[in-house]
Order: sequence, then structure tokens, then C-alpha cells
Amino acid sequence: MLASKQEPVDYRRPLPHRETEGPDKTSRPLVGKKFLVAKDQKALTHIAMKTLTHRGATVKLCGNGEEALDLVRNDLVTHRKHRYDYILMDCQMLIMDGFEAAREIRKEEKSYDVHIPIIALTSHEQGEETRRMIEAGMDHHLTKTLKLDRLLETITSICFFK
Amino acid sequence: MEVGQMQRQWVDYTKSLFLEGFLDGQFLQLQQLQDESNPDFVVEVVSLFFEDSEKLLNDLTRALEQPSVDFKRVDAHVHQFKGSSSSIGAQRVKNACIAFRNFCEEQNTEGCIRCVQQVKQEYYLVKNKLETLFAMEQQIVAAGGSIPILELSF
Repeated sequence: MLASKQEPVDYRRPLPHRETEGPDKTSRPLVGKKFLVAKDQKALTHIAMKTLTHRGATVKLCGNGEEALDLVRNDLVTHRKHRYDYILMDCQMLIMDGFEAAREIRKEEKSYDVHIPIIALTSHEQGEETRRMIEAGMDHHLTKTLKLDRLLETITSICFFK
Repeated sequence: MEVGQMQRQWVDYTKSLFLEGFLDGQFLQLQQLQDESNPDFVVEVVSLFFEDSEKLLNDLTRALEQPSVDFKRVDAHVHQFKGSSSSIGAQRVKNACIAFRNFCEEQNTEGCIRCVQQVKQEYYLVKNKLETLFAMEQQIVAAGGSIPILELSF
């Protein structure tokens, strides 16, 4: 049995802003959920993308904190509310890191009385950057190698406390 | 070489990568994300890791060549490398990064330079191993076989 040929991905071009939906799968707990994922490393982004779309989520990717901020700001100005349900924010991006982006997003939100859950992605073991995350206005944190079960726990707890 | 033999070779080789600590459980997690809709997922992620890594290693080397080393910047790069290597299960690279960060904290230039060499070495080793593994997979598929499901129990 030959492996099916996929359309070749051009890894040399910079990460585009793209919206993607997952294939039809039987267990899709993230159906209807829209994620904005801000990450600047290709391998990790690819894994996050697959983990989320595999379970039915719609994902918008962006390559750094500044792009995430622009996307969010644009939605708030145009529609007066968030387009996405959650933001997964890498803490350590090189162009505007996650902390700064989160701080700026919270500032933008003030005029609209909205609050989008921002989930920090960090490769630090627990505790190391918790203070920075809280100060930046982030709500939760997960490890960068996105573990589906922890993500689902976090999403559930966010919904529960809404 | 017939398919059965190739498959057995693949199993032995994969097992050795885990036993020798080149790969850890995270690599298996990646394989679990691979399916009919994305049959090349693992190869894609690993290729992206290679791309990320080449850039990171260049940035690291350059940062340490500066007359006045910015250890915070070096640490930031190592931190990123640690994250991405652990994301594909490249255990020995990840461990080399952990050791590296200690020297960054101490602001020890010589220690850091030694660590860059160490990290590079581990990276090129695992790169080589993974490329060999993927080449084996291509051969199996080209010969009409399928990649065995790996059951690891150790």
C-alpha cells in the first residue's frame, strides 16, 4: 500500500495567516471553537495546528505577538467583540512576546468590556513564569507541546466559569 | 531485501533510538497525530524542526561571537531550542539545552561555547538518525509494505 501523495507544503515561505478546518472525525470536542494561535516556531505551530484541527477546531495562525494584537484590535474596532473564542499565546516569541501582546490586548479590551481567554504556552516547568503570566493578564497556561487532554481540561474550566 | 526484513530492521532501529535516549515518548505522541488525512505528519513536523534548528543554531553561534555577549538573548534562544527539541521528542538535544541554560545563568562564556558545541553535536546526531529512519520508511512503502505499528514496552 503506497502512502497517499499530499500536496507539498512550501516550508520556505513565512507562516501565512490562514484559516483551516479539521476533517470530519467522530470525536471532535473542539467543533465550533475558534482559536487564534500565536507562535513563531514552525514545528511547534504545526503540532498545535494538527492537535486542534484534529478535534474539530478552527484555527487562525499568526507568527508573533504583534500580529495577534493587530488581528484582535481589528476585530474589536470593526465588530466591537472578539472573533475568536480563545487565544493560545506563545510566551517566548521574538517579535513582541506573549506577555507584551497579552498586556496590550487587555488594554484594547477595556473600551469594549470584553475578555477573551488567553492561554499562555510555555516550555517552562510549572511556577517559573506564573507571576509574569498573571501580571500580563493571561488566564491559563499550557506546555508548548500541546497536550490535548490538558487543553480540553482548560477549555472546560473556562466554559464552566464563564 | 524483502519487505518483511526491511520492516524488522525498521522496528529494531526505532527501538534502538528510544533505548539510546535519542527519542522519548513525545515522538510517539507525534505518531499518534498522524492519520490518513495527514500521512506525512511526522516527517513534516521533523522537517520543520530541522528548519527551526538551523536558524536557532546560527543565531546562537552569532550571539556568542559578539564582543560583549548578551546572555539574556543567548538564554532566550536556548530556551526556544529546548522547547522545539522537546516537542519532537529529541531527548538528548533537550537535555543539552537544559545544561546550557545553567551556563547562561552563570554568564559563563566559555561554558556556553562548549555547550553550543554539545548541542550542535546532539542535534546533528539525532538529525542523522531521523533521516535514516525516514529513508527506511520510504523504502518499505516503495516496496509495497506498510510501516509497522510500534509497541514499546520497556
